[in-house]
Amino acid sequence: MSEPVTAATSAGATGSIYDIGYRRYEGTRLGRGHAARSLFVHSLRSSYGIGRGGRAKIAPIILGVMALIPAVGIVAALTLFAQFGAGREFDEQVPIRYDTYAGTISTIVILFCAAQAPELFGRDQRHGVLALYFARALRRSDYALARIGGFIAALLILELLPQVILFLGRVLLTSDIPEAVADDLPSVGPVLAQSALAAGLLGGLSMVVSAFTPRRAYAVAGIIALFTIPNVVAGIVVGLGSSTIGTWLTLVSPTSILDGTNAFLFDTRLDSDFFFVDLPGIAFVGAALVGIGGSIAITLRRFARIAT
Amino acid sequence: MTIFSEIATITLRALLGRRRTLLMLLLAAIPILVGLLVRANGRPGAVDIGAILDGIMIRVVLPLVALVFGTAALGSELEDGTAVHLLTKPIRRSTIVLAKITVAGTLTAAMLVPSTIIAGLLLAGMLNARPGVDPVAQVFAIAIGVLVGSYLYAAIFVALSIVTSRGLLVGLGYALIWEGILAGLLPGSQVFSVREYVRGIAETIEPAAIESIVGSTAVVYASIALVAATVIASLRLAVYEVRGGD
Repeated sequence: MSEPVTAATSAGATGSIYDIGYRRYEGTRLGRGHAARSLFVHSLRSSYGIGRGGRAKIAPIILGVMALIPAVGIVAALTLFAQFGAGREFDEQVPIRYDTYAGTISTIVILFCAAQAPELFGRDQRHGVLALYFARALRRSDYALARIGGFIAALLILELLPQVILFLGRVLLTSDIPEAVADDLPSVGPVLAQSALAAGLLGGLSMVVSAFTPRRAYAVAGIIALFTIPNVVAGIVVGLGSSTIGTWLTLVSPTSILDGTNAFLFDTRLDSDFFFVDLPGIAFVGAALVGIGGSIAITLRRFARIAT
Repeated sequence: MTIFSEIATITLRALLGRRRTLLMLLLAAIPILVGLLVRANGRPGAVDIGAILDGIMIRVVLPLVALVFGTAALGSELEDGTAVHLLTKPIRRSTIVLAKITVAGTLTAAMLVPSTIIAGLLLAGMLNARPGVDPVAQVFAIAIGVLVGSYLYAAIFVALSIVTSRGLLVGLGYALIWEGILAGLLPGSQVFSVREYVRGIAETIEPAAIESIVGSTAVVYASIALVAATVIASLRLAVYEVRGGD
C-alpha cells in the first residue's frame, strides 16, 4: 500500500524483476478524520438498512414505523376531536405527550437496539474484516467511536422524529401558531435531553454487548436480557417497600434509570408504585451519564485489545 | 436407536454448547435470585407469590430461554447450512420437527421448572401468602404451567425459525410487543398469548394461584396452539428452500 513501487530491475543470474507498470495512488489522501466520518455515516445508514439488501431493511423499517404510530395516531385523533370542537378537552387528557413519549416507545427502542446493534459490531468480527479497517488511517479507538456514534445517532433519530411529528401536528392544529409554538417551547429542552440520554445509554450498552458477542443470536438475547431483567427484578423488590437493595437495583437497571431521568427532566411525578425510592432526580441523570461513559470506555478497551 | 432419538441426542449435544448453557443457567437463576433478594429485603407480610413469579418467570425468563433454545434447535442448522445433511436424508419432516421441539422444550423445562419451584418456595418459606392460599400448591401449580409453557413456546419458536431466518427477532417482537404492550391495550389479544395459557393452566390446577382471563379453556387453547405450531413447522420444513447466509 504505502511502499513505493520502485522500478526495480536487477540483472541477476537467475532472473530479474520487471516494472510492469502498476501505478500507485497519486490522489489526495483524506486522512483519519475523513475515514472516521465516513464510518460514522456508514454506521448510521446501516442502522436503518440503507445501502444494504432488502432483507436487512425489514426489521429497522418495521420498528421505525412502530415508533411513529403513537405520534401519528395522536395527531390524527386530535384532528378528529378538533373537528367535533372538543379539541381542547381531549388535548388535556391524551396519554401520549412529550413527557410520556420516550416511555411509550421504549420497548420498540429496545427491540431496535437488539436488532441493529449486533449488525454493526457483529458482522465485522464474524467476517474477520477488522484488520482491513485497522490497516487504514483509522485508529482502533476511531473505529469504535465512529460505530457507537453512528448507532447513537440512529437511535436519536428514532426517538426524536415522532416528537417532531407530535410538535408539528399540535402546532398546525391551532390557528394561532406563534402561541402554540410558545406553549410547546418549554418542552423542547427536556425532550432533547431525555432523547440524548436514552439514545446514549441504550445505544452504548447494546454496543458493549454486541462488541463482546459476535454471534448475532447471543447478542440479541443478551441485549434484551440486559434491558428487561434488571427492570423487572428492581420492580419486584422495590414494590415490596423501599430499601437499600431496591434503590441500588433501580440505579443499575437501564430502563428504570431512564424512567427516573424522564421524571426529573419533565418534572413529573413517577406515578407507578415502582418509585418510592428516595433518590434525588439528579442521581438518575448521574447514573445515565456513568452508564454512557462506562459503556464507551469498555467498548474502546475491547477494540484496543481485540485480535484481528 | 430410532431416528427420533438419534436426532434428539445430536440436537441436545449441539444445544448444550458451553457459552449458551451457561448464559441460560444464569437466566434460570434469576428468579431464584429474586427469591433471595425478597427474603433479604424481608419485611414479613402478605406477598403475592403468583404475581412475583408471573412478573419474572412467566413474563421474562420463560419466553427468553424458550426463545433461545427454540430458535437454535433447528434454526442454527438452517442458518449455517448444515441442515441440508438432515433434510436430504429420508426422514419424515414431522419426525425432525417433533424431535427438535421435544429437545428444546425439555431443556427449557429442565432449567425453569426447578427454578420456579425453588424461587416459589423461597418466597413462600418466610413470607406468608395471601390468606386462604396454600403457597406450596400455588408454587407447584405455577410450575406445571411453566412446564407446559416451555413446550408450547419451544414449538412456536421452532416453527418461527423455519418460517423466517430472523426467528429470534420476530419471537422477541411477539413476546415484547404482542404479549407485553398489546395485552395491556387490547385485552382480547390475550386469548392468543402463550403467557395467558400458562397462567390459565396454573389457575385451573390451583384456582387461587394466579389470575387469568382465559381460565380452564387455556388447556384447550394451548393444545390447539401446540398442534398448530407443530403442523405448521412440519409443512414449512417440507417446502423449505436452502438459502445462503447473510
